[in-house]
Amino acid sequence: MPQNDKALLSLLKEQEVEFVIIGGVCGVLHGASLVTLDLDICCRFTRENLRRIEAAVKDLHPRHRLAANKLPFELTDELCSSLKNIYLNTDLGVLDCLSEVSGIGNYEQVLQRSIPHTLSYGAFRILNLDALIAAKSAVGREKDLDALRMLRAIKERTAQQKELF
Amino acid sequence: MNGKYVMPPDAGPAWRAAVAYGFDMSLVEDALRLTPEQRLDQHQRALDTILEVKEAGERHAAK
Repeated sequence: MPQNDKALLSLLKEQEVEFVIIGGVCGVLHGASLVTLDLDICCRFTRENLRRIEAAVKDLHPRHRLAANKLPFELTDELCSSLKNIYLNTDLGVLDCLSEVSGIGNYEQVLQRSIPHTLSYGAFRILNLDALIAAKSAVGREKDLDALRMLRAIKERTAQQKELF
Repeated sequence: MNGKYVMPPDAGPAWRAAVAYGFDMSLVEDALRLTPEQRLDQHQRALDTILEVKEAGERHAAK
């Protein structure tokens, strides 16, 4: 299965989904040289915003990737009010949508600790480096601890470079 | 010619720890010279390669 983060981000942008890029792709944007196989975002879990996500992926055969029966991703009003996270397989790869981030909090708190990044296909928000480090520390899986070593080094290096200029 | 990674003379403890852990921090140095968009493009190319190799392995195993 391909994983095309740029295309997924473009579709989310087109539908005006409110989200912050978190996880491995956020680390890559900060300069980490680790490969990540999914796109993780934190988003506002309102009905409106969830419907925008649904519209963004509707042509990509989205399925709940962690459900035993891999059910198609089809929202109902009831689902919109009960979902906390959405883990999807799509024709463009894996898209995980979280309502909160360990070590940071809910979407509003994530938004407060995000910074803007303008790419050629739109303006996005990503977790700032300190927040990403806090999130990785809170999860604490082996792969997160690996990433933490690199992210802390990047933080140190970029701080040194800022002092120089 | 390929040689041993030369640590930046002003490398701090976290950078040194990452090198000691085994990360090729020359890749991170390169990434930090890129724009975020270039970093994402580079990541996509690496990801495409990994997924191609993985699929080739799966096809081979299925034979």
